[in-house]
Amino acid sequence: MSMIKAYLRQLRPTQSYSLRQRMLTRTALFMCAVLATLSVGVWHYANTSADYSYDRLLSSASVTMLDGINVAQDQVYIDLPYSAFEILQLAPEDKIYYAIYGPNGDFLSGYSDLPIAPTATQQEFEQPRYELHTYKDQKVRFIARHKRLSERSVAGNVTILLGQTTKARDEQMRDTLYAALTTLMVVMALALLVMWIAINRALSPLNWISSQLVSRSPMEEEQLPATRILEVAPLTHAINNYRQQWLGALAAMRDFIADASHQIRTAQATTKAQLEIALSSKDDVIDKQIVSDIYQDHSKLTRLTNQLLVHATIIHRGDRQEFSRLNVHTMLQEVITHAVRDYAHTDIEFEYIPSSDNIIILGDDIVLKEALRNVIDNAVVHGATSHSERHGVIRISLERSESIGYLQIEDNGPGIPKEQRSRALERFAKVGGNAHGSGLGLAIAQSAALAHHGQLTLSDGELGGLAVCFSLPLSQEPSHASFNR
Amino acid sequence: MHRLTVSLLSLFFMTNLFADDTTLRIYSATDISAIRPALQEFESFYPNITISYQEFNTKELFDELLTPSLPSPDVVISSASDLQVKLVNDGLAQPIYDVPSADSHQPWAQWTNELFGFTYEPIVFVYNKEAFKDKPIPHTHEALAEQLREQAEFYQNRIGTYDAGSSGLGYLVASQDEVTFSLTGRLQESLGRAKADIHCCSSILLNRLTSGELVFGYNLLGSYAMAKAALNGRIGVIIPEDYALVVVRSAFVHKNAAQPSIAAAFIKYLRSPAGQNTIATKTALMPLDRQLGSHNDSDNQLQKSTNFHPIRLGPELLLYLDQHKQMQFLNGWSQAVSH
Repeated sequence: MSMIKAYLRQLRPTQSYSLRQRMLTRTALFMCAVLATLSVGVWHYANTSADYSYDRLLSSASVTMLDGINVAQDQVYIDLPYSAFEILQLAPEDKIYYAIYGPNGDFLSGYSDLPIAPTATQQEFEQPRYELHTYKDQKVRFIARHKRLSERSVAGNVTILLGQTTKARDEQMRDTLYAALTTLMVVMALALLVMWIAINRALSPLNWISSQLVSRSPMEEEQLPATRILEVAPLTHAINNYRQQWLGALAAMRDFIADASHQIRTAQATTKAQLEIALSSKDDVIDKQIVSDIYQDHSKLTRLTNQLLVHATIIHRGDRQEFSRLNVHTMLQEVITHAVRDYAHTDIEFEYIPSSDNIIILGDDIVLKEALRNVIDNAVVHGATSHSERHGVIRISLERSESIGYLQIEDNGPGIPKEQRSRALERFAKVGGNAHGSGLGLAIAQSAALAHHGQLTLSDGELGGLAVCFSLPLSQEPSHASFNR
Repeated sequence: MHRLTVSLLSLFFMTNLFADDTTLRIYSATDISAIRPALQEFESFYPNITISYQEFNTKELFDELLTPSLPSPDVVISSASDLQVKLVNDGLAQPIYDVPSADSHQPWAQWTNELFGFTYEPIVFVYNKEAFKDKPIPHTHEALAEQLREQAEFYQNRIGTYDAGSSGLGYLVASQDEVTFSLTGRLQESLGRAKADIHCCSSILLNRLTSGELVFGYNLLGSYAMAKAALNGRIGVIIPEDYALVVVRSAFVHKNAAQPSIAAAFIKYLRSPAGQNTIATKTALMPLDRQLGSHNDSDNQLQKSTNFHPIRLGPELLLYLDQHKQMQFLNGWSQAVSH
């Protein structure tokens, strides 16, 4: 058993190999095995058929000879007919031996020393007996046939033993064998040839596809030409599809880079302009207002850069799917703790409504934290702080249904009008009164939700502002697994 | 030096002696006079070989080979094809290969690769010319039967044939006559009524025909008869026109041959163009290759389109050698002929 395994291991390809060659060798080996098996069959067939035809000669000759054995004058009278020997003459090269035994087993005529016994079994009266013996240094096929004489004077069996050397039958056997083997070999050779052609034909689309792919640049929009081969069509379709997706991703990346560079350049230009204004002032003392403006612009730039990097990170990590089991409650607590600390100088109030159940999802800790932080930041910026007559509230709540966890962040700001909500999720889209945001926060949140096979929905919150809700599928695995991250 | 010379000399003599001693032993049922030119030619091709030729009657030869009293021969030759076939069937021969065939249309002149025919000798009628001066000569078996019936007195005690009982060739011809010709029985009875003279050997019959004691010889071997007729103008030979049996004289290499390769060479020689030509032009025998004819056949009867019935060499000849068959046939024959 282990030897077979070791052998199979040897067979397993470790180096590159030719499909064509391998298929051909295996087919050839298989055909050799078939040929060997068939040869045995053919040999058997040739033997049987030669025996069959020459046994018939023996049989009819012996019947004819028995016809010449009768009773006359109270004696067994033997007058062998000439035709009996003429029948055997059909195998002209073969020698003939015969013996005739009378009712009491007494030898009557022919060769008295034949190697076959004249005794009869009951069954042999219907079926003659055939035996192969070596007689006078040659192979001789014998037949034993009996005839019952039932005259009053002579009653009993006469037996005729007739033998013929096997030259003719051996020759016929060889002829049949060679003819059949030749036919077999020709058929096998033809089959191999057809295989060779078929394999080449089957592999040709492969060459065609690779030549098509080599000849064009991967950036080209053009698709592979349609093929009429049903088996190849899925492959070209898949290649086209793959390239289309890849080109789409590339285009998105290009747009993103263009958008990002535009944003960053604009912010940098503003900062630079502020600085130039400051420098061009004739006063030795720089106006504090200008420095404050520069600071404002710079923080915007920093925030923009951070968000862009976060966004890129989410997309990148989302692609790689490095998920682990997360307890959303624990993660949320960390995020809220940070936010509370960061916004301690403002008068924003945070409310947290946890779920009674554990909510475990499969997800990426870093990505989700970034997304949450962005939504919270958005809520802080667009929430009630921008309308200072009211005192800002951010409510974070956690709920679950059968298979989905809902994580909702609400503010009491003005919200986003319904018709602008879908646009709000796009990158760099600034909706409503948003004048100084980067337009990336919600885009990041949506990317994160999608990366977790979830959704991000915007709705009107109970506090009157915007409610951002992450719906994330729960982990299906048993919850007692470790989630202590 | 001296001793070396002596040993070299003795070696020389030894080999010479050995070479001289290479003898091809032939046991044959053929008159030596009828075959001598062929033997001599063979000896001239192989100067180191001496042929030791021993002559037998066909039956004696057969008995000698079955129960040997003499050393085994190398080659056995006989015109009694049935006895030859029997000897080969009994395993007394050994196969030889690459034997030339005189004529490709004669597969029957060979049996397996052991027994090879080399002559083509028709069975003929022989008549005394003096006796038939004013009489029509029977040219067919039927005409003979008619004449025997109608001119019984003329033929009485004056017709001769082989003794099937004592001559192997006589038995072969008589039995094959029965196989070939349906009127044979009647002809045999006619022969019996005419008190036919039966003999073992052609020479006696031919001498009596020459002397006029017999006027007609039935079923004689054509080769001897024609040779006699060529020497002696008093007898004539007729190849029957309705059908003529043909005896093929055959040879095989004995199983215990001391010189099997020389024996094979001899048989090949007999079937070769040279051998056939010598048989045609110098011996009393008639070549297997019928194109060659025979120098004794002045009327070219051999080349006529007579209905020749060669007795083929093959196992069917064994039938008449069956103990019972032989007994019955000889009983019938002797009853018919010795009436």
